[in-house]
Amino acid sequence: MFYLNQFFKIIVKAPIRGFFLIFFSFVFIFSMGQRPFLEEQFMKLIPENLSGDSFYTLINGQENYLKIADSMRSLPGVHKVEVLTEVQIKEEVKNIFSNLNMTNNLAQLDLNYAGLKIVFKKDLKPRAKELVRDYLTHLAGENNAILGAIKSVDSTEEKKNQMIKGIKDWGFSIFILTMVIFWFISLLLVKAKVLEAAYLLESFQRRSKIALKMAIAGLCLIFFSFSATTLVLGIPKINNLALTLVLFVIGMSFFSSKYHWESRS
Amino acid sequence: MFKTQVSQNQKMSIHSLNREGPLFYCEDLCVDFGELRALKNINLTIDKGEILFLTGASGAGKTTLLNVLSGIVQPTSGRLKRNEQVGKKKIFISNVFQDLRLLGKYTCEENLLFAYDSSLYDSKSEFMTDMHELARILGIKDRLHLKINLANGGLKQKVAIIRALLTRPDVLIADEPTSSLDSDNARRLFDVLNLYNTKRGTTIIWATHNKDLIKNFTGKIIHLDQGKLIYSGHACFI
Repeated sequence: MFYLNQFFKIIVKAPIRGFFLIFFSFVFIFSMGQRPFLEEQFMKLIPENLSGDSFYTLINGQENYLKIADSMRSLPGVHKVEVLTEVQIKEEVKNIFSNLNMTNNLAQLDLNYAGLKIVFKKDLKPRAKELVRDYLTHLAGENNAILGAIKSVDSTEEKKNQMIKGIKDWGFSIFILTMVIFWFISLLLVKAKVLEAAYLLESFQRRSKIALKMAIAGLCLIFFSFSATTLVLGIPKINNLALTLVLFVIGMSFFSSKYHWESRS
Repeated sequence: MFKTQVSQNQKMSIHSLNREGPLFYCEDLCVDFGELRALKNINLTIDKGEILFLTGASGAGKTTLLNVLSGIVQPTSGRLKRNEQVGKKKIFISNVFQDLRLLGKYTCEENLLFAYDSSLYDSKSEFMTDMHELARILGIKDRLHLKINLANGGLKQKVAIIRALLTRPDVLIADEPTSSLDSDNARRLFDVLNLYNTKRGTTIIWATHNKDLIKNFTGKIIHLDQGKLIYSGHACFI
């Protein structure tokens, strides 16, 4: 009790360091103990589908293109539908007509068109892509829609895809690793204060290895009480908690180092 | 606390220790720091219950000798024998360091509580009574709530001394404990230490510049100069 009491006295006397240690201990233990649950919540925050190939389409301005866009969004193979601005449409029309060598007639054309960019989900089969295009033609009417060619996913989207995939694969592990690093830093900050107080206690009381005993008492209490709180979300992962305990024990061993009092004016 | 008589057992333990030999015995003791020889062939014996004043100019080797006796510094050569036991009890050495070693963010009282060893006191209230009594004698009772960061040099020094005394040490080693005290306060402190020496048999080893202050006290004096012991005798002859 003496060592536990001394440990928490130091936490109270160094409130910022103490807060960080308690906070990061809690986050670290909770995320390890309830990793599957928290990982699931984490995945929900990340966009589910990655974007794949895309195509542009021009739809007669008299058609309700916003309704068409909504209908397209509801298709299972469509990742997203972007409605294009007037400037983007003109640019796109120019591109289409220049591909068809019809630039001379451009000025005479009625450009009352709405533009949509349809982005497929990643790795959608060609047959499914054709079905999506057919459905769009069906919605707009065969004579009211001009479909551009399918473009493969551009480099910006590809980078974004890779990033999202990376976050999905490693995001939570990186989060836990970051918590471990922050936890160790906060532990080292508290360690300096514990060693200082332990040095004085050893100098003026007939006791030894006070810092280590304080760390064992304090960190064990933190570990077991926070482990118990993980029960709120169900049975925790025992293996993960055991690994956390190993890290806590390693943390405790830091407190066995010898302290040298530095004179301060 | 000061009314407490030294128990018969305590008296016997002091005598038995004297039969066992001196508390500290140094023979040709040398300490080097790199190429600098801080102590040169020191020969010295300190008995249990003795008051020893260590004098000398700055850099004479006083702090080094105190650190050797405390076990903080190991001698480079020569022999140091420290009697570790008093009867069956391990001796306890308490230090008043030159840099005081107080925690600035703690109050004076919180710093003193570092000396509360429950194995020495029947209850915490006994410890608190001793603490307040010592604080009263040294005139700091009303300033115990002050944070050390806000305390003046004299107050800090008194806190460091009281903390050392509250550990009920067998040996008290004090390095210039009166450097920030005026002569009245220094004399009062000497009186307290004398009382501890008489009542509890505490061995007191005291490094100081202040020869005028110590010449009125009974006790042994050792004068160091450039690491050499050049005088050993009674303080009253100085």
